[in-house]
Amino acid sequence: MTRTDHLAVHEEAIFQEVANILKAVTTDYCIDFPLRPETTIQSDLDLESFDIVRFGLALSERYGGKVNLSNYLSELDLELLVKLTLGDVAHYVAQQTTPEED
Amino acid sequence: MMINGLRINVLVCDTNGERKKVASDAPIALVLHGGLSDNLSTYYTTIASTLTKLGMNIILYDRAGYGRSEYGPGCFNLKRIFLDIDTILDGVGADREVHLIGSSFGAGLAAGYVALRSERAASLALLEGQPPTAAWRENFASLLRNMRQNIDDVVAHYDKNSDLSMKVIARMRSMIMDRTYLEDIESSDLPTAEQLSAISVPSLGIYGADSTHGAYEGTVESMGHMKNLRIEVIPHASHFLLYEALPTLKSFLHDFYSGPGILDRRG
Repeated sequence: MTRTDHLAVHEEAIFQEVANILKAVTTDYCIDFPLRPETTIQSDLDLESFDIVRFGLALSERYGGKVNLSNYLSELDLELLVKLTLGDVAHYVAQQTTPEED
Repeated sequence: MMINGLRINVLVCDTNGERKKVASDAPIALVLHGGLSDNLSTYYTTIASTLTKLGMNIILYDRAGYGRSEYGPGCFNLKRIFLDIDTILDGVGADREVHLIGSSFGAGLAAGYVALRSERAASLALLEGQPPTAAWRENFASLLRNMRQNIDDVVAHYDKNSDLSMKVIARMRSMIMDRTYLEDIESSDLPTAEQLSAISVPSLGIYGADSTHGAYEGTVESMGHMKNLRIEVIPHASHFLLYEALPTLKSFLHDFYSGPGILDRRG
C-alpha cells in the first residue's frame, strides 16, 4: 500500500468517526438518511449554528486540541462556510491527525 | 450553569478547546453576541481562535432566551443580563479584570457592563455597536415594535432576501412575538451619561463604512472624548463585519490586544 493509499484509508476511517460523532451530538435532530462526505452541514443537515459548537467540542474531545473546529471555520470565507460538507470536516480532521498517531 | 432558575449555556475555551474554568494566569475575554437570532456560535466560528491564540481564555455564552439557553420572562432586561454576567464570571473563576467584547446589540451590553462594573473590566471592544444610551434603547425598541406590527412582512422579507434558514427565521419570529423582548428592553434601566463617559479602560470600536445602523455615530457621541478609544472603519463593509470583513476585523483585534498595557494590564 502506498502512502497515498494509506492516507485515503485513514481519511475514510476518520469520516466514519466524524459522522458518528455528529450523530451523537444531534440526537434531537431527525437525520434519517445516510451521512456521506458530500452531505452539507447547513443545507442537508440544517444544523443550528450553536450545535456546530457542540460538534466542534466533541471533535476536540475525541482528537485533542490539535483538532480545533473553531480555528478551521474561522479561516474559511463565507461561501465555503455555507457549503461546508461533512467530508470537508473529515478531511480537516484527517490532516490534523496522522495514521501513526491515531 | 443555572442562573435565576434558567439553564444558561456557557463555554470557556482556550487553544486546546473547552475548559471548566478560566486558568489562573491567563487574560480573560467575555464575548457578548448580538440580538434576535444570534448566539454564541457567531464568535466560535469567527474570532474565538484569534483571541485564544493571543493566550486568552474566552467565555462565550448564550444569553437567557438565546441559542441553547432557557428563556424566562424578564430575561432580556439589561439589569438582569448584567447580574447574569456577574454570576457567570464568578462561576468560571474570573476573579480579575476581563476584556469585554460585543457585537451589535451585544456591544451595547458590553459597554453598559463596563460602565457599571468598571472594577471588573480590563478593556472594551465594540464591533458595530455603541454604548447603551436612551437613544439606543429607543431605536431598538422602535425596531421591535415595528417588527411586531408587521411580523408577516418581516418573515417574508428574511425568507426572500437573507441566507437565514426557516428554523432561524422562526426563532426570530418567536423572539419578537412570544417573548418579553420588547417589554424588557423598554423597561431596562441604563447607565447614566456620566457613567458612560467615565469609561476609562482601553477601548476599540470597529465599524463598517457602509453600515446604516448608526453605531459609529453613537459611539463617537458617547465616548469620542476618550483618549484611549481607538476607532477603525472598514471600507466596503456593512453592519455584518464578522462575515463581510473577518480577516480585517481579526487583524484589528490582534493589533489592539497585542498593544502595550492591554493583555498585561493585570496578571
